[in-house]
Order: sequence, then C-alpha cells, then structure tokens
Amino acid sequence: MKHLIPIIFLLISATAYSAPKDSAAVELNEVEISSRRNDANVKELSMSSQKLPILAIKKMPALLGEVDIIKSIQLLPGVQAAAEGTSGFSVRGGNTDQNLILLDDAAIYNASHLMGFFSVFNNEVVEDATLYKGDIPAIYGGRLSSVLDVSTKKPNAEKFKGSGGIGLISSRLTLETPIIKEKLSAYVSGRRTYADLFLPLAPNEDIRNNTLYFYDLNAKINYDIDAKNRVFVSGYWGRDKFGAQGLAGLDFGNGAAVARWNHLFSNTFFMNASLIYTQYSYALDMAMNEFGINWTSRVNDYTAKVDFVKLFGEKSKLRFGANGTYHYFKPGEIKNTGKSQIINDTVFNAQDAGEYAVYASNEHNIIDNLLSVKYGIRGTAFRNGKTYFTAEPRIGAVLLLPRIKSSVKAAYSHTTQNLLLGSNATGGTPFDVWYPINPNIKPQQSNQYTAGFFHNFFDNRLETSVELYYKTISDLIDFKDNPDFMGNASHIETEILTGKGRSYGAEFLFRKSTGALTGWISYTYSHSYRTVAGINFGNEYRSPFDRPHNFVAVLSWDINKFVNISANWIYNTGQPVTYPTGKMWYGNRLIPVFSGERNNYRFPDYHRLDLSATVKCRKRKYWQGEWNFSLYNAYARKNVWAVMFIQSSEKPDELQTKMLYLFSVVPSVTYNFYF
Amino acid sequence: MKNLFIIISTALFFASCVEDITLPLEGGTKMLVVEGGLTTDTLQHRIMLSLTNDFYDKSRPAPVSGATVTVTDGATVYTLTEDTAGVYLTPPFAARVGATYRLDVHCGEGDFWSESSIDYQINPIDSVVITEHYRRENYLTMYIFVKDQAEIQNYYMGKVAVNDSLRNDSINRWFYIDDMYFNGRYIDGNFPVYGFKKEPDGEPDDYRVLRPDSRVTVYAYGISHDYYRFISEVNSSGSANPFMGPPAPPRTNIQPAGKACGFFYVASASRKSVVYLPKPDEPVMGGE
Repeated sequence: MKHLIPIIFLLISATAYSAPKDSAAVELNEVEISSRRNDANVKELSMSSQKLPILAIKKMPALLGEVDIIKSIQLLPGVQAAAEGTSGFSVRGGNTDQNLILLDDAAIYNASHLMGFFSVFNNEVVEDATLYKGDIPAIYGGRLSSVLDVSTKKPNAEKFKGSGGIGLISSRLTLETPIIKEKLSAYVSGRRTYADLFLPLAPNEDIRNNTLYFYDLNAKINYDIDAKNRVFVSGYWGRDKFGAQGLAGLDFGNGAAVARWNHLFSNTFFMNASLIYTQYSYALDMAMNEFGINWTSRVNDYTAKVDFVKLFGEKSKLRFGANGTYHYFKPGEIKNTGKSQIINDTVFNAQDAGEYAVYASNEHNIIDNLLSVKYGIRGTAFRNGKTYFTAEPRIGAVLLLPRIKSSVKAAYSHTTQNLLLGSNATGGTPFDVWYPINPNIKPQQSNQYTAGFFHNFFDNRLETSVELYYKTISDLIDFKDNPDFMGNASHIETEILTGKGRSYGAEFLFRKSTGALTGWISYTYSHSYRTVAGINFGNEYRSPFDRPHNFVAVLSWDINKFVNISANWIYNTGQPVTYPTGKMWYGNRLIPVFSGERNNYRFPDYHRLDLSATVKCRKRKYWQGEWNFSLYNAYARKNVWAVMFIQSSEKPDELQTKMLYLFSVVPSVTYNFYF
Repeated sequence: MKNLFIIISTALFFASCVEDITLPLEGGTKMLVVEGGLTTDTLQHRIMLSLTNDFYDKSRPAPVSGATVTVTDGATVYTLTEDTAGVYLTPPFAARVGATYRLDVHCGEGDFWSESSIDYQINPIDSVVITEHYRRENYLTMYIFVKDQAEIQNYYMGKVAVNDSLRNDSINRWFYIDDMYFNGRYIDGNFPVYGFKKEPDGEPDDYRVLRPDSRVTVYAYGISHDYYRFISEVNSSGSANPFMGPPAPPRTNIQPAGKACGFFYVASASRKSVVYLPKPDEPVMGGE
C-alpha cells in the first residue's frame, strides 16, 4: 500500500515531466518522480525516517472517528505522545518544541485543535507525511529533534471530484476540479466540529451561551504551465473558538500560504522556488460588567527559499539551496476593551529576527550495489541583537550486504535550534509562546549518531530493521522551578537555565506494507536525560519523555474488498513525574512538600487498544460511501493524565491523591463519501 | 432525542473522570515550617512553627513547642512567647517600612533564621463598595477604590473579614495580585476583589454568604515580590498535569536551605470597613 501513492504520483507526474531514467527516488518536496523500489528501506541511504501515506493513515482507528496524522505519527518507533490525547510529540526523547512541523514547507507553530485532541491536518487534502527523527537531510533546519513534513495533494486536473465525511462531532468536505483540463486545477476543503450546535438544547442557560468549535480551510490551485514549469499556491487557515457565557473567549489558530514554482532546467536539473507565509496567534478576551481586556499573542514568518537538485547519472545526486526567514514575535499585547480603563495597554517585548541558511549535500554511489555515502552541510545565521553562525554537518553511508539481502547504515547529523517555546508544560497549550534566542540565550545544538541493520523477508513483503541512536544536546534549555512565564514575558531568559542532554535507544521495527494484512510492530528501548545547574540539585534527571519501553502494534486487515478491520495496541512505560515527599501546614491548609528533585517518579504504565471497522457501501455511479466504526481505548484502561494533591474535606488533616483520566472507551461512527 | 444529543456531546468532551490513587511515595526529611511575619500595625505579631510529615500521614503536621524565637531590626530585639503549641507572639509593636527584620529560631531541630523587609507603605483604601452582581442574582461583588503607586512595583495581598471573622482564611482563598497591568492607576471601583452570596444554595461557596448589617473589613497588605511569589507558588503546587510544568518547592526565605520551608514576611498594612446595608438599586458605599 505504501508504494501506491508514489506510483500514482509517478503516473501523474509523468504526464508533465520527462522523468529521468533514474532508479533512485528523486524528491523535490511534492515533486516526486519516483519508482521507489520495494527494497528501498534496505538500499536507500536514508535512515531514521518514516513515510506514512494517507491511505495507510486512514485505515487506523481514530479518536472520535477523526483520522489524524499526528496521532498516527505518535505510533512510530522512537516517537511518543506528549500526553494522552495531545498533538504534541517527542522524538527520541526530545522536547515537543524540537519538532519542525511543515505543511507544504510552511512551519506550523501549534499543530493542535481542541486542546490537542485533533491536529491541524485535514486528512482530506494530505498526500503523505514523512517524519525524519534523525539523519535529517541538510535541506531542513531549525529544530533539534525531528522534521514532520506533510505534503498536500495535487488537485485533480482530470475531472470534478468530491469527498467528505460526517462524524459525531465533526464533518468535512473537499471539492476539487479542473479549471483548464490537465493544466489548471484547484481544490478547497473545509472541516468543522459542531458539538456546540447541540449546546442550545442544554437546559442550563449558561451552557447554552457557550461556544466550542474549530474549523479549518485548505485550498490549493495548481498550474502545469508546460513540461518544465509548474506553479501552485496553497493556503491553510484554521481557528479554534471557545467562549463561556459572554465572560471569556479564546480564539487561536494557524494560517499559512505557500506559492511555489517548480522548474526543470533539464532532465537532470530541477528547481523549487517558494515564498511562504505562516502565523500562529491567539486572542483571549475577558469581560465583566464594565471591565474588559483583550490579550493577544502571535508569531509570523515570511520565508523565501530556493532548492535545487542536480543528478549526475546514477552515481551522484547533488542538492543545494538557500532560504531566508523574517520572524516576528509578539509574546503578548494587552488592551482595555471595557468602558472602564482599568489597565495599562501594554506590549511585551515584540521583536523580530532573521534566520538565513545555505546548504549543499551530495549522495554518491561509490560502488554499485555495495557502498553509497552522503555528505552535506548546512550553514545558518540567526540574527536577534547578536548574530549566531552555526555549521551543521550531516553525513551517512549505506553498506549493502547482497548475499543476505541486508544493509548496514550509519549516519551523523548536527542540528541547531534558534527558537524556543516559552512553556514547561509537556502537553502544549494554546497559550504557548515562541521566542527567538537573543544575546543572552545561545542556540541549542545537537549531535546525533545512528546506526542500523536493515533486512527484508519474503521477497520484501516484510521489512525489518533495528536502529541504534545516541544523541547529545549542548546549551540545552530547561526552565527554572516555578517559572513565571507571564510575568517575565519580556525577559524570558530570566526563567531559563541551560545545560546538556543525552538520549539513547534501540528501535526495532517489523513492517508489512503489502497484501491484505498490513501494519507494523515496533519496540523501542530508550532513555533521555538532562543535566542543568539549578535543577535537581545539579544532578542528572530524567527528561519528561524518558519512557524506556515502548511497544506498538498497528495492524490493518482487508477481509474482503468491502470490509477492513484495524487495531492498534500501545504500551509505554509511565511518564516521568514529580511527586511530593511530604506535607506541611501553611496558611490554614495542607500543602504538599516537594524535595526539589525533578521527575523523581513515574505515572503508572500507559496502554491502550483501539479498534475500528470500515465497511464500504456498494459503489454507485457517482457516489461511493463507507462507514467507519471505531473504539478508542477499547478495554477502557484508565490511563493517568494528571495527579492532584488535595486536602480531604472529610479528614482535613490528610492529603489525598486523585488521578484524572481523560477517556474511558470512546465509540464513534463516521460516514465517509467520495463522488 | 434532545437529551441524547446533550448526553453524547457532554460524554465526548467531559468523559474524563477522577479516582483515588495511592502513590508509591517515599518519605522525605522532616523540615521546620515557619509561617508568619510582621506588619506595620501595632499588635502582637505571630510566628507559627511546625514540622513537615509524611505525605500520607493521617495526622496534621505537629507544632514545634519550646522554641526560642526572636525578631530584631538590629536595634531592638523582640523575644516571642509561646501562646499555644507552636504559636509564638511578639510583644506589641509596629514594624517599620524600610527596616530589615531578622528572625531567629532555636529549637530541637536546630537553628534557623530569615531576613525580610518591606520597602513601601501601601496606599490607604479610599472606600469599599458592595453591590449586586451585574448578572448573577444571588451574588454580591465587592469593589475597592485605591490609588496604585506609579513609581514602584506593588504586590498586594488581601483578606476579608465579616464581623471580625476572616472569610478567606486559607492561603488558597487569599487575594493576591501585582500591579504589572495597572501600575500607577487609580482603581476606580470597577475591579472586583471579592464575591459574596446573599443566600446559601447548597454549593461549596456557601461560606461566602453575607447577611445584612454585617460589618465587612478589607485587610490589604503591601508585600514583597518574594512573598507574593511564595503565595503564588504554594497555590500552584496542587497537581502534576501536562498543562503545567513540574511542581516544585515554593521558594522559601528560611535558612538553612533544604532544612526548612515556609516564609517570614514583613508587610505594610491598610484596612477599611463597611457595613452591608442592602438597598434596592443602590450600592452601599462608605468606610470608617
């Protein structure tokens, strides 16, 4: 199944491009001229990356029936959900802000909808998602731990098509059409939750006046000018809206726009040139009688980039390019909105920064069917009061072992991060604010060493691999105990401590991508630690994502051409957590006492089974429908999401511990249609 | 059908549940807890001493009796006397703005000390208003009129008494705020500082009920940034959840570090009283 998309894309692309007779995949973002071999995972140079086609993602069981790319990514080896239900994820022990999330090359600063239960990616328009968790190609930069590159599909240039879905809490609709057949085509896609539509039925007037929904819109227009030129413009806009009885309102979301020109200078020399805009913002409104305030925050990027690929026969593939981004950050602005001017209108340290990079990398087939190497470097300059220059070498090699149809790969990559999230919440919130580094905060830098053994069984139908990694981070940023992000929004460096981090692990993957039964089984053993003066008495401590054992089974079975059943089972060692060691009496209350050790305990282990069944209806002339039934957390495991320390009302001399779990079993049904 | 939709939507968004859990906690080292301080009012100031105990211990942390407790501004030494177990009182005196006070405690657990000061006198409250809540029928809102000092960063802590009995007597109910967003402004009675109820209705906030003819007193304190931060950190330590950072010990000013917790403060004080006399469509204003 995973080869289906590239093949389809190849067929589409072949009509517009004169593809080089190159057996290796030539990827220039969404231009994928590919004849990806079914033993590619063994023979290709890349490692520590996973590509998930949307068709595979759509088969997975989904929370509330809404298939979600990030929830699927969280099931890959080396990746963990930051917390139950959230869209934040940790890659190889890294922080959630160390992942570069791209939608058609536009950075998405907060990929969450509805407190993270959904992500911003509407599966109706997504072509595929590739996660690089190490061995990150030199074309990417700006984050330490990973790149999640999500590409939207090309609008259908042949005929008018539509698709959509109706679920319990959300629906979506996509319409795509040729405007000039085989030349100019476009789609528009929308999604909206509608739980709030039922609120007016509530007996309580206060609830009736609440607001609770999100929506997003995707649009793309593509023009195949001629065999050598293509342009497209794609856009995204999504907002979450919460409102409580007219007293408070929260509005947050992302916007992105990308304009790209693909040009083929020749059959062996390609170019992508892009202009990219992206923003994340939130607005919090509060009103009470004559008193009202409005708090806003936003981050904007304006990026220009150009990327080239030059093929030298089958021996060598050179990539090079450059990009520049103008960042604008406004951590907070507060204004009076009521009749009573009670506060001072304030802007917290709005600032801009420039980030510029050039890169070049080469893949070189040194000995056919035996040894290939790649080497590259990315140079970055980041300006914000002071200009930091960093060089990021990336090297790798694959040694084929033809006799045993296996390969051994190794890679080293150096990455740099010049932005940081002003939050120590692992789960991520809409109020998360991004900051640039400044003369008082150095860029974080990471070195990752990976090695792996790859072997396929049964004529490449079963892919297996084991990857080992060791990662270090210097100038690692963590936050002081009890940081005050709001109070020091203008001086975030006062809440920061720096140190070093290390992670290591082994990832075992068994993956079957063809046939009626598909999916993967993975096991990861890993650790992630930090050492920061001023935290945990200066001793090494667990990162919030140190979860040594991670087992995932994702299986999908096409019983016949009408019925598919799927199941996920996830097991994780419990998340590190800081628990108290005693209690004290202060201010007429019992207060938990903490020792100052950080992440000194763990939540109970996490595990969950999800099930789904998809039943296709009989195809009609212009309509194909299917029903999806899913059970999230099928055996109702009570996974701890939070622990509270509460003074007992019945026994006021005792503190009680209460656990909060988010979900019991969550059934859902969705009707999807295509026309 | 209508109810079904409500049940479904409610179940989808609020299906979370709370249950008891017993954590495998190891006991920590016992520490001395110091609570109390001095204000610019002339009175017997109170210092309370107790010990931490194990988290799941069924008893309240024990008071520390028999300690020698002194406070000094460098010129005068005030020796505290034990009133009830663990509660020590100074002789009557008023702390001075700008003076640094040192607390010394000698007890069976060792020697402990702290220093604290307040560098500004809180402005007097001009008046207090109790009026109908603008949208909830059974509720009353209390406002104050006071000028914030422009030239300094102020940190305020407030308590409310009804007929001399504190209504927000526990730290999670104290009112505390800094002037970051209203520095230098005149607080003109549109900023609610406390809420009362007219009649009990079986809800947990029934302790807020205010009867007519009751005398309401607002105690306002100018406190230091460190004490403000301590109160805030104590009130943030009630859970470990993904939407907050890791809980941590509130920053104490009791020495030696690691052997004691709590806070010794100095605060400048102001107060204002009003008698609640409800009249339809007419707020109660005034002061004594």
